[in-house]
Amino acid sequence: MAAAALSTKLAGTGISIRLVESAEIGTVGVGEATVPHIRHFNASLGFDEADFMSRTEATFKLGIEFRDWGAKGDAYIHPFAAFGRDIGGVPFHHHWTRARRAGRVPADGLDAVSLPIQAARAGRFGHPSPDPSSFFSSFSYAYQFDAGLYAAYLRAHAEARGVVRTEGKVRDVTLRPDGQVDSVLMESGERITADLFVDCSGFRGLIIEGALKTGYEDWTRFLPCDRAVAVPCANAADPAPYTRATAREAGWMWRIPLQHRAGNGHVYCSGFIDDDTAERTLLDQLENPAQASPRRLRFTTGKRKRQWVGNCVAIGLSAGFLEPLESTSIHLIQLGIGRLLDLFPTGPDLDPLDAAEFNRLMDLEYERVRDFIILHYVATQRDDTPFWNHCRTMAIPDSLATKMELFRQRGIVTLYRDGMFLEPSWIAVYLGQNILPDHVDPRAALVPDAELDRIIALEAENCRRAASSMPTHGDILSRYKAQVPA
Amino acid sequence: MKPLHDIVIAGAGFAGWLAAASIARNHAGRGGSVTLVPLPGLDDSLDPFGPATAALPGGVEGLAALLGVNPPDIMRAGGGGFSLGTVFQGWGGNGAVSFLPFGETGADLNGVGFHHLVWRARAAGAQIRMTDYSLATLAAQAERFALPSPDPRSVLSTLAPGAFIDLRGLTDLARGQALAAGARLAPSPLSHVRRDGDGGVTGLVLADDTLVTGDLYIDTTGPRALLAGPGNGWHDWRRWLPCDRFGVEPVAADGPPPPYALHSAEGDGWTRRIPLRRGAWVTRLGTGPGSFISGRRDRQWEGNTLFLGASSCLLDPVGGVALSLLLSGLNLLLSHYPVSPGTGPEAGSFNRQMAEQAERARDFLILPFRTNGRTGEPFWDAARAMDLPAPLADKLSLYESRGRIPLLDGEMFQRPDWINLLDAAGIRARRCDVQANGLNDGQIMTHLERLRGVLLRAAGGMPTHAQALAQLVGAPA
Repeated sequence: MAAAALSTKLAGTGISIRLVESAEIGTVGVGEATVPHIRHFNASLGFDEADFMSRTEATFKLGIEFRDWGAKGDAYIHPFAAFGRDIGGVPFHHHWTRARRAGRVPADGLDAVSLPIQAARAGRFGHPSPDPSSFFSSFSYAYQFDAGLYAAYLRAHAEARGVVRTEGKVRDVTLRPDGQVDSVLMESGERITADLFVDCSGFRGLIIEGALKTGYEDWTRFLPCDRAVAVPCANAADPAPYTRATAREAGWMWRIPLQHRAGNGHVYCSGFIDDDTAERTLLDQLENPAQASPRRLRFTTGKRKRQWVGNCVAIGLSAGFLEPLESTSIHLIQLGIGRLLDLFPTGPDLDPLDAAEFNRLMDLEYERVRDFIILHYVATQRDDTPFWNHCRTMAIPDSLATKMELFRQRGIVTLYRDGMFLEPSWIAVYLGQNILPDHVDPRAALVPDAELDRIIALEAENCRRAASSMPTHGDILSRYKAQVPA
Repeated sequence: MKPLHDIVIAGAGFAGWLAAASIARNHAGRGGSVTLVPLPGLDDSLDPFGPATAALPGGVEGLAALLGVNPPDIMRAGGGGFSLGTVFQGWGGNGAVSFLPFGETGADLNGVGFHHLVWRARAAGAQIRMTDYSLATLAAQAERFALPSPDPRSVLSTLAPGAFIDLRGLTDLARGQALAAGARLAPSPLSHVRRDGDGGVTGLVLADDTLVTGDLYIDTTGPRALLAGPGNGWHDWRRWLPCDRFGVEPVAADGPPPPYALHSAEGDGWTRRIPLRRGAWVTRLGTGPGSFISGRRDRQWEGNTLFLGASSCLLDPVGGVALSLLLSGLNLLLSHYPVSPGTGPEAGSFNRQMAEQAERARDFLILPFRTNGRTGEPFWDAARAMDLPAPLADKLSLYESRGRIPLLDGEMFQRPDWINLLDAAGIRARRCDVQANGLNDGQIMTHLERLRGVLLRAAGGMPTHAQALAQLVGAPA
């Protein structure tokens, strides 16, 4: 992603880009789910949607279904959309809470007032309308794709724009007397020097940690899962236009449906379950036989203390790791690239202010994503396993505790400038995991019950009708495939 | 639990009536009461700088929404015209003039920020002003005006007008809306505040000895902040905003009102001129019979008492910051409306956001003082030498390094505002965006010329401000 974006945006500047990678070292992703921002990234590189989707076996994604999180048996979808519309200047979720408290709507009734949820449940997809007055403009969407194929797609784009790719393993990283990175020494004996090094080497952080010893901020006390096992299998039916995250005894499982198969994985906490049991739990629930042997991963949730140090910028897992519960990994890569471009060094004499601003922004983003992911674990009523008892009662960051308290008492969502998850996302998870505010905006009481019931029923009918007018997900994918020459 | 219903507002000036109308309109039908307790004397609830004020873009629409009227009603009641920005005269030295426009300035090219294009063009020898590429600037020079277009493809969509308002007319409108929605004015003015042992407000005693009590007290008593207890002090910002004296006087109009305000720097302070449709108001800052202390209240919501207007934050009247902060406070109050007496998490959220907004607005207002070019005058030499609050120092150093303005939570001004102000003060970045190196000078010059042509044509096609006012608002009252 970095090479493709930098080679596009820095075209004509005289900056040359080399990419060093080894096919012997695998990448982590199996199937990757994304958030809508990826569409801006693709558009800025000039990708055609039908071509990109067909060549990466991509599917559309309208949201994530969370099963068994608030309580066993619960299921809700976090869509890329708001629920309902303001009534009398008061956000919809306040009215909804009133109706819910009075028992006039069912616990899972929010699904009915969301067009993308209705579409997702029905296996349908249609593009949102660019016309803000259209009912179809109220949602966004992302993709689920094969990360390996996406990497190949990006590689072709980057190489066509002059990126020189060198195959091989890095043997050593040499520093200059001032502590900046001088060069990487390849196992072939080649020494590659550069002005700026972008460390995309994954968990190990070959340069940012291996050579520069930057240090890591460990967030395991807030997010205790530390292992995963992943395996692909065939889809049972047409791929669903949404990702699924199912809470389990000591972690959770993902299912990411692509066109040619489904990616599956189990994220778990080694303190509460052993590797073999975790793998068996994953394999036991596959819809079809595994297509490969399961891959095991270990990780430490957290972030590099500084993601830009001297002339080295860490992007991706070398910068930090947050479990893929809300499909944030690729977005954090995209953000890192965008901010690197915004603050790109203007010459070999680096101004430390560039790195300081980059680190300020990335720290803010990682912490806000972290808090949002912790919310899923702590907003639970589950007490059926030691793992969930731990999560339900663990200490959480003050930044999250304050937000949760304000919502729990008053239904108010804390807003901020930098941070990918906006008000609708927080509401989806709060309400989806049964945090119903104690008090709502008192103005909500001014809407008579019968009027509110009428508005909710009308909204539900509009969503149902709009969803049923969309083509099926399978139809749209085959139409795209047919447009693209093999 | 007893529902929170009875609201007592100290002060029956502009901020008090606006608060009363907003609350009464939003909570009419809930069975509560809104009572205003008047104060003797001039209305300084928004600020003490006279009856005229400026509204930033969105201010008129914000007022209209709170009062339940349409934007032209606000313009009629306010008796002023539209605003396209502010003329800064003499800040860069005697004779220096620059314009700080509202709305967009320039247009990016291939993802390269407009200011980098201008800097490149200057490096290639072009003599250009950044703001000559803002439609608002060109229209203001010709005293022309049009409302922005909602169509993003139209060049008119780059406009974002503010307005000028005579607060006395707007207060009348707010009073009418408040009374119609059930608010009441106490028959006698405030004598003193009754407090419990901890300093908390337990009631307002009127001059006729009546006691008015409520669940929530709102202090709109201006800089005096009569409801503030000794434990809720004032952050004094005079080390950054050096004026603490002022004087106000009306002046006669010499023709139709121009669509801009005038901020003129002088030897020991500065002067604000706000045009209205009948006359103008001139406020002198730095010298004069009045005195004030710029700063903000420590906690804008404490216990059962909330502070709005000048009792909450008071800054030099640059732009229309005071009105924006008041509107923001009222909207936050409505969304954080208390459901029980005392302070819950909503007060913490309110205070955090109001403090952030006040401090970010302060940072912007400090800039013209700090970046002044008037040498040899003690007032201005001292302003240039001051230490900056850390967030502003960070902004300035990153801008000076590479032309980037880091924005924080609570910003009232956007990147183009900062860049226009800094560029006009002659402050340039040491480095240019690398992506600009992908463009050659010819491409940049072609882009700038094309842009200038489009903007000049658009400005030339606008009606005069006087014509626009007559058509959009009607004849002056």
